[in-house]
Amino acid sequence: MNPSVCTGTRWLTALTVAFAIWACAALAYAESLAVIVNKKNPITSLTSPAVADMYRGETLHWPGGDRVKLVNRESSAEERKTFYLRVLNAKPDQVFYRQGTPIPVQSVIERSDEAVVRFVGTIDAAIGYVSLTRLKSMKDDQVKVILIIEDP
Amino acid sequence: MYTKVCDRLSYGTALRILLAWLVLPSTLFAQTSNQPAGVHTEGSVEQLKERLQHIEEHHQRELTDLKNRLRLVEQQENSLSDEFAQRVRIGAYGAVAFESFRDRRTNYSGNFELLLSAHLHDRIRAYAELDLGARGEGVGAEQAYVDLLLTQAFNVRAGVLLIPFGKFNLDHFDPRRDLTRPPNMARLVTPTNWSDLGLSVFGILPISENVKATYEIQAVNGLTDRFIATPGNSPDVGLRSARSELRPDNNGDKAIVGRGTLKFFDQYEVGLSGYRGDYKTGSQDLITGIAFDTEFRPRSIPILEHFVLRSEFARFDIQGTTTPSSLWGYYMQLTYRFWPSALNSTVLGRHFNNPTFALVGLYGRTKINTTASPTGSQTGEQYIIGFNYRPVEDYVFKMEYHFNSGQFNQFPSDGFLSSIAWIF
Repeated sequence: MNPSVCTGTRWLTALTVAFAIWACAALAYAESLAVIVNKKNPITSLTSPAVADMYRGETLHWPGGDRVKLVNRESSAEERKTFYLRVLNAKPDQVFYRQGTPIPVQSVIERSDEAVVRFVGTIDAAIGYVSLTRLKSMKDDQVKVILIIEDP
Repeated sequence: MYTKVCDRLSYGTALRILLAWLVLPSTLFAQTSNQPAGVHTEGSVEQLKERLQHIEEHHQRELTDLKNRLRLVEQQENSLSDEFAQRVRIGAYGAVAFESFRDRRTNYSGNFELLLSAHLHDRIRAYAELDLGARGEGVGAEQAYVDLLLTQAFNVRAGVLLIPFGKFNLDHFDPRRDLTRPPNMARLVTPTNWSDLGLSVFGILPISENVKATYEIQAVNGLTDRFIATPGNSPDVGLRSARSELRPDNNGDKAIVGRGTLKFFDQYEVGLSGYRGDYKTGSQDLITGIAFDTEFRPRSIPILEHFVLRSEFARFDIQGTTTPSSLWGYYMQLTYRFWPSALNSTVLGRHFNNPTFALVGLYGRTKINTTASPTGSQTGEQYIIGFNYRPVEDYVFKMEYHFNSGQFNQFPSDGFLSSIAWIF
């Protein structure tokens, strides 16, 4: 066999393998998110900007009157990275402040999707976000999905 | 014979009586408790066991009762402390600065401010920012207000309010700023930090998914005439001395001040502010002001996302005096945030999640029209080049060099400033 043809084939194989690895990695991280609230919350759906307003501290109350209790993931979590990028158009460590004060908008930090679901399922006025796949596998009936952030 | 019989009977009777007399008391008065053995003793042990069991059961019930009560009290305490932690937040911010200007002695200055935030109710919140007087001026409230949160579009605030005139005054917190000193415009024209007693309404008005408007309108005591030099009163240049410093209103007429903004995509903001109020005692002379500010903070746009551009213009016109009759100024500030990944393994980076450097450039110009100056006005120009290092969002080390020119005594020469600011 011609050595140059052999080298070309090897390069092609290597590129294909590299692309496959990259695609798998990208798919592994690009997961859909579910924005969830307590099942007692009368809200059935929210838009992405409406959710963003809550996390930026601009919307403080639910239409029913209860104060919104925000649940966040730690800044290194993939869910948070995706949520901040897609919904808040911000980096995961972006801090939002109450206007006219240096005080950050308060949120509860949970370290796993299970903990987020547990918190939102317990607290009536809570809102959080979790991986849609994880949520489906948990089959928790105390929370409901009000917005799905599709993977790109 | 009869006598003998009688004698025998009486003798026998006497003997029986004697026996009975001897036996009966010991039977009647016998003490059973000390009797050691027999059926009676076994019965007592059983009783004792039963009694012991009763006592044990009783104690067990009491113990369970006490444990339950203790658990309840602990739960109440926990929920109280949780509730307290949820409802009340205490923090502080501070800064210490070192300055070295060519025409004056080097100096350290600083400030320390206590922050208190509380939710009295889901719709009532209080906030206080108390300057603890590190400058030697005593404790003072920069902000101390209570909000009644009615709707997103309409809320009521009362107390010591930060005046919504321009963006800088609302965003003056040292640890959040990239430069140590406010621009001259924010010192000579807008008298930052400017707060006053009064009442305000504020809210957010969504216009579309990506555009929203905000507003705040206040009725406050307003600026006073203390900026005019009189015998015994040597005011600062500009309007700094006109601030009421929370004293009673000197003229009874309330000043109206407000700011409205438009925010696009939560990245771009333009604001327009206005001020109108009497300032003299027994006179209708007015101070009117207008300010325009912008902030561009692009996100998720390659290269541009590292930049923040801010600018602000402010102008005041004053009736009834020529010292000064008007004053205006503006500044533009460009910040570039970056972090060389090569520093991740160094002491500057390895202990922190997201450290940043920032390069800052500011240009500002200020003019005061006053007959106190032979030329009829005083002007000033400033350039600042700064660099800062933020290992975390809440701590910053700043360095900057000021190039000043103009006729303002406060900023006559160039100089170096450095500061550390923090918040928790």
